[in-house]
Amino acid sequence: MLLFSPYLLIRKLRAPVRYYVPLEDYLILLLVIAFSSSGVVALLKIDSLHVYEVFSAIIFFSELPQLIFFEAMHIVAFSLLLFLLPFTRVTHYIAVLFTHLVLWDDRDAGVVQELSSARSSRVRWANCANPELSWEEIARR
Amino acid sequence: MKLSDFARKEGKLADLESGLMELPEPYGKISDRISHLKEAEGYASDLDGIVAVDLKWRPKGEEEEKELVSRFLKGLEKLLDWEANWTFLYPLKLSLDYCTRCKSCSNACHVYLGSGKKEIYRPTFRAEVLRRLVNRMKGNLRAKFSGDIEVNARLILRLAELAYRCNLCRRCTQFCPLGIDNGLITREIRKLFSQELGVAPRAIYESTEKQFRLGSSAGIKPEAFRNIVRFIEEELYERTGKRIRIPVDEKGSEILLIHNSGDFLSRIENVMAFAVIFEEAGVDYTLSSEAFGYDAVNYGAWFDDVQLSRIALRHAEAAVRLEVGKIVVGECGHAHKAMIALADRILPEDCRIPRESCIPLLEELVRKRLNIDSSRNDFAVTLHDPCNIVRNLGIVEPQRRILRRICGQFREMEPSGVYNYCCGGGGGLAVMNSLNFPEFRNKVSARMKFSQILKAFRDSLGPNSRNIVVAPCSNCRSTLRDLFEHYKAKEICGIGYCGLAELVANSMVEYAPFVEF
Repeated sequence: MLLFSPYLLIRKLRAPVRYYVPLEDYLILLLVIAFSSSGVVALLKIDSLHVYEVFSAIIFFSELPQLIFFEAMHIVAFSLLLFLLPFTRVTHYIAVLFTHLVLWDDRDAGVVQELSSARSSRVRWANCANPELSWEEIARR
Repeated sequence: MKLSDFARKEGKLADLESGLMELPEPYGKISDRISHLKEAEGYASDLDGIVAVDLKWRPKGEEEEKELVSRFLKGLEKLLDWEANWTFLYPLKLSLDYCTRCKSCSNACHVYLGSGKKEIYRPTFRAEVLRRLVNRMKGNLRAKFSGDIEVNARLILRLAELAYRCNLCRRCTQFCPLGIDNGLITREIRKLFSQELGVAPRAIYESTEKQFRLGSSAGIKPEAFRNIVRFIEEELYERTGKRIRIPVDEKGSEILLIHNSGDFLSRIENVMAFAVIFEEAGVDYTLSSEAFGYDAVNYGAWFDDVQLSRIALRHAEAAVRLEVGKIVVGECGHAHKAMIALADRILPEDCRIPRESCIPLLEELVRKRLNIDSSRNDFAVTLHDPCNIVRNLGIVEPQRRILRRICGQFREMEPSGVYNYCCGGGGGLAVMNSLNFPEFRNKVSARMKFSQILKAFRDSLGPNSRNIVVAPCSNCRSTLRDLFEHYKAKEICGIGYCGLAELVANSMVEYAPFVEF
């Protein structure tokens, strides 16, 4: 993550890719870089006992030991990532593994009714609109 | 080039006079020059000098420009509204929302690669323009955060042209890690222009209009069709010495076979081949001489939902009136998609007749009912996979099993199957022959396909060779015909083309070879 995220960021800052990338994409990438880099720095500065104490405090809601700046940054960045992730496209990489569970069956009554209702709605496009006619009626003309 | 240049930059955005992808030998040193039309003639040609939308619709003043922008934005609203655009709204919205701009689609796109990697031909470039227009519609804050673009007449004219630089082949979708459908986005842009502004290339619009007025997109009226069928029977007798009756309008048959009507004019060997195969195999089938019943074409699949639904319904109604068991679609790729896949969304319950591809049927006949001599097809053969048959319908293996059975020298193109490149004529580009558009097709969109063909036959190229590209799609054959004529492929490399049924008929023991390659 620490090696690949900066590469992605540099790639998204260079032409022509940067002409396509919206601001929201940079936000997630910066959070990932903040999360991974602060984690590595924090690990270098603290010992494993401190890590155990922090985790225990988070899990069992007990008193947190004194955090260094990079630890706090790591926790905040991770929390923000967890919060934002469901609103991003990254979730699709997980959800795509389960799409086989969502079966599209045209024989299902709900879909048939929905399509039947759609066909009876009016065609509103300016070049083919006749306010009296539905999609099915125009198709049969 | 920035996306904002699409609306602001004057002059052409891509120069197609140089920098195209290099072709393999013996064409490596040929430089293709594209002739350009002057903008003063009134066509919107400042995208890349090529004109696809051959209407003089450039606005003539500020008032007309404002009206164009206003109508376009109304159309854009309808594109994202369920009631107005229920047909493909969900996959469109998903494709607009989920793109990560990774550009995997670009390196999969034959138009982008063939052009020499010109920026405007990236699948995601076109999609991103639409995406930013949609962001604008949702509000200025959203636009600033997620991407913005200026809306003006220049952008609209260019977007209409850019929508016809895509073959709708879905190779980009095949390679996209998220399955974003840039082909669908392009097709929806075309729909917006057609259904709201009444703008579409004349060739595809007028073919559809001819279908309604005369009965077929090729302009063949029902009476003329019946005469052509009689002519084909006579021609078959002359070539094979056998009397073969082609049944027409026979009620209660098991199969209604519908060809692309262009084959009755420009490639009757394909129709003859089917007649010979079905006669020998004892298939209970019929053609129809009713309007729409003898023309599988449905150009609405490329640009207009209303036309798509009207034509699909008429195909089904012709079959229902003949009381056939099912429709079998002949060798026509887009008709496969329109009739077999898309029509599922459109046909009401009383018209839900089974629709199938001819290819698995041919495979079954070759395997079980025909006497085949593969030495009759003793020349180099490769297969062009039509996009609509492999990628859009998943019919990949049956045609290969047929070719392995009937040809001794069958070799695959690289890549093949669902990864095959489009012929360059998909999405309507095959039938758009006005102004300088054929140059774009021959030199840019079909470039990758020509490169594939040359590489597939690299060990047998030569003026005295016979190298045949099998293309089980009528429009692909038209594109290959024009492509080979443009590059003199037959004279220089001995390359020709044919349909799948023709090669099957050529290998049948009971009949003297009658197919001219």
